[in-house]
Formats: sequence, structure tokens, C-alpha cells
Amino acid sequence: MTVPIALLSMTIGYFIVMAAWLYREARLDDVDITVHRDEGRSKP
Amino acid sequence: MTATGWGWLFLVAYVLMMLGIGIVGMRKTTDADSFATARGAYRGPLLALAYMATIGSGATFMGNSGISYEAGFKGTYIMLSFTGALLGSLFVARRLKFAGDRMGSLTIPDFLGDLFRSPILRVALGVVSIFLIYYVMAQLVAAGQLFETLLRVPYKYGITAAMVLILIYMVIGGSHSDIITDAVQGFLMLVVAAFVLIAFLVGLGVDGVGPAAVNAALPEQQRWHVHTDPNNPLFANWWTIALLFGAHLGFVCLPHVGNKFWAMRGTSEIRRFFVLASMSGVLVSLMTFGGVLARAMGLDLAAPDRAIPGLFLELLPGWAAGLLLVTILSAIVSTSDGLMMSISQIFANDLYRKTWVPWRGQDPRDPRVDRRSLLIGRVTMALVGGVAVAGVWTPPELLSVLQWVGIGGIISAAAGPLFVGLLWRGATPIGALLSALSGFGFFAGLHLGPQFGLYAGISPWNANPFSTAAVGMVVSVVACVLFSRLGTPSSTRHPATVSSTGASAEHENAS
Repeated sequence: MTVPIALLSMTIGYFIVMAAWLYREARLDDVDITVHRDEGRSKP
Repeated sequence: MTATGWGWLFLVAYVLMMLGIGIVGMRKTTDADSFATARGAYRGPLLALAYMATIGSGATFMGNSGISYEAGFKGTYIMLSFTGALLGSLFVARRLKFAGDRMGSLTIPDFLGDLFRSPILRVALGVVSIFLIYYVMAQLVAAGQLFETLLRVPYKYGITAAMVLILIYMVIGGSHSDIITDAVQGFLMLVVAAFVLIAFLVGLGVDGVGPAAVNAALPEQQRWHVHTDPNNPLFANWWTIALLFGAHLGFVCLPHVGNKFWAMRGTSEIRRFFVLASMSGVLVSLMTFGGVLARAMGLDLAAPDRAIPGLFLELLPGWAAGLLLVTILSAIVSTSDGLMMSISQIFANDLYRKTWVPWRGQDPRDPRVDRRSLLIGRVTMALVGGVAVAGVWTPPELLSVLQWVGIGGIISAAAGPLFVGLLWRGATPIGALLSALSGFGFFAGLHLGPQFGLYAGISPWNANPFSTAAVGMVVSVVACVLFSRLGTPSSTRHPATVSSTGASAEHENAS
């Protein structure tokens, strides 16, 4: 295996993990928590 | 027109644009919170570019390409620093954003102090963060060398000019200026990275076509089938390469990196943020292949760090070299400004508002305290700028080591409290404090001691800050889990709980 192929595999691996994590979090919480700027607090 | 002439032309346009953005930032800055974090003001895609530029720094153009110029293809493993930094951020971004907004935290030390309700943790991490001024100094040195190489401006004038520019737009516009300028700078970095990647893929400047031609033009030990080199501490074996990636997982702990999530408009922006930050981050990190191409072309450079400038001067007309100057300056400035903001907030918020004011029995939420905090932030930023310029008037010999006191120190100390504290309900204040001490102690003993010449140390740990920071990070995380058995969690309801019900409950409380 060459260095560029190894790096390409690792990069693809990163994107798979990223997609899986974002999908997991999206399932955990479908509420958009936006910031209440006036009070510096959060609200959905 | 010569490369120097184009360089001046692009530089003037760039400076005017940065100053314009500074004025926009000034109009958006209303209080200490908006100055320090620009809370909730920007969408994911813009922040993604700003984030990539903040992580990127001058090292992307100079240091990293210099590494691959010297080491050949194996040196391109340095691009794992980007994916490492993004992956670490991914795991905590949502909770960091939610909990930080909810508690009104302004810096990472402040956030951890709030999360664990521990003023000692806030102050301890704040003090270590002050060492990030050496990171600013290292960036300034790179800016000075750039001015000297491409514009024939003496080094001392170069560092002064770079700092004056940063100070003008940061003091007036704070985090708003930081984020907007970083996004513009990130876009410029993408343009240059695209050119370098195309040049490598085509094999510009070497006999033959494509990456195979680039590979064939290299000395045997630098070709793409050689992955490690026992004589190179960074790529001595597969462990050091894995730890290079591992150390960057903790980059989100750095105050100027982690605080960017609080500027995001809402948690739903996180998906778009990561998709764009990842694509742009990977593209920019591929710039390290420019160092390989420069070596294959046989460019004779005064220093390895000049691989990318050398490539531009060799392959492109004068205007492109001018564009490169502005882009590298962008990368340097975009990291320095965020660092200076974080350091100034250590004084204005962590030490003054959250520590000194309550200690004196006053209310940190008092509007007068807020105004004073904003003023301290601006004044401290100017002072930090002055100290940084004075510090590198004659660059100190131990600058790279001192820089790692801040970077490695924060990563080793804060990783346990941040990752464990956000991902596990069982983390306790005593666990967080002891984990910070363990991680920092491990990093200092294994890397900083030998680097300051106190003892020989163990190879490659004594010479490789990435490996040591990565192991320090693991020590910190493990220590946080183990020592948390000694105390009780600071809250029965974890502030980073992100669920529909939790968010609704918070909404009801807010209304």
C-alpha cells in the first residue's frame, strides 16, 4: 500500500464515522436548539 | 509587473477588506458576550470556513509542506492533523454548543469551570492558556519571514505591520471580526490548495505526467511505498503516526478553536458545519503534497518551509505569487486573531469577571461588570499584541518549545474534563481537576522537561510533541474516569443533556 492510498482510506474512514455520528445525533434530537441572544440562553 | 509588485497590490486590497470587516464587526458588538463569542450569530457554512482557517494556521502553508519537502511522501501523514482535529470536534460539538450557550460560557477554561462548578479548574486552565501567546509569536515569526521573502520588507517591520492589522480589526470588532475575516481567509486558502493539488496530480514541473511521475523523481527513501523513518521522530513508526492523529483529536480543547461553536446560530447547523468543514479541511490539508512536488522538482530552497512559495514562484506568473502572499498571511492572521481573543478573554472573563468579581462579593452579571470586562478584553488584546511583537523582535531560541507548553499543555490538561465531562454523566469536579493535573504533568515530564534541557528523556517522546500530547490526552481521559469515583457529580441534571424533552424544559425555564 502506498502513502496516498493509506491516506485516502483513512479519509474515507473519517467521512464514514462523521456521517454515522451525525446520523446518530440527529436521531437522538430532532429539536433545533437556537440561541436566545438577548439573554445568552438557549431555547428550541 | 513583478511578483513583489503584485504582492503589494493584493496586500493593499486585503488590508482594506480586513478593515472593512472590522467596522462591520464593531457594529455587531454590543456587549462582552458578543465581543468574546459572537454568540448565535452565524450559520454553519460560514463558521465551517472560519473553523478550517483557524485550525489551518501558517503551518499548513509553511511548516507542513516543509515537513513533506524534507521527508517525502511519508511527510504527508501530517495531513492527519486536520481529520484528527475535526473528528475530536465532532464528538463534542453539539453538547459543547448547547451547554456553553446555556451557561453563557465565554472560553473553554470558563466552560469547564462552569460545567464542573470549579473556579480552581477555570483558573488553572486559564493560566496554562496564557502560554498560547507563544503560539501567536510563532505565527508572527512566520509573517515576518513572509514579508521579507516576498515583499523585501525587513522582518521587524513585517511583524509590526501584521500585528497592527490584527489589532485594528480585532479590538474594534472582536469575535465578529474574527469569524468573518477567518471565513474570507478560509476561502482564499481553498483557492491556493486547489492549485497545489492540481499541480501535484498533473505532475507540473517534473518529467512525465501524474503523481507517478512525481514519485519517480524522488529519492528512494522519500517515495510513496516508504511509510516510516526511524530517524525522523514524527514518522519513526506507525505508533507515532497514529499519535500524530490522536493529538489533534484534542484540538477542540484549545480556547480559540472550541469557542467557535458558540457563534453558531443553532444546533441544527452542526450537520452542515461538519460536512463543509470536513471537505474544505481535507482539501486544504492536501496542500502538504506541494512539499513533495517541490522536492520532486528539485527546488533548491533556503529553508524547507519555503516549499509552497518556491513552487508558486517557479510555476506561476507574478500575480499568483502575490495572491499566495496574501493567502499565507491570511492563514497566519486567522489563527493569531482567534488566539489573541482567547488570551484576552482569559483576563477579562475567566480571571476578572468569573473569579475576581465573585471573590469580592459582587455580581458578575452586573452591567457595570460587563462594560468593564469588555474594556479589559480590548485593552488586554492590545497588550498581548505588544508583548507578542516584543517577544519575537529577536525570535527566542525555545519558541517552538514554549509554543507547545500552551498547545500540548491545554490538550493534555483539558481533554479529560472536556470529553469525559460532556460525554459521561458520572464526571465529578475532583475527577476533572486531578485529570487536568495528571495530563499536564505527564506531558510536562515526558516532553517539556527534556526540551528545556533538564534531562535527556525518552525517545521519541522527548522530541515529538504530538505523541506526548496524545498520550497526555489519554492519561487525562482515563484519570478523569478513575478519579471521578472520588466525588459526586456537580449536578443531577447534566447541563449538556441534549434531548427534545431537555430542550423543551429549558425553553419553559427561559420563558
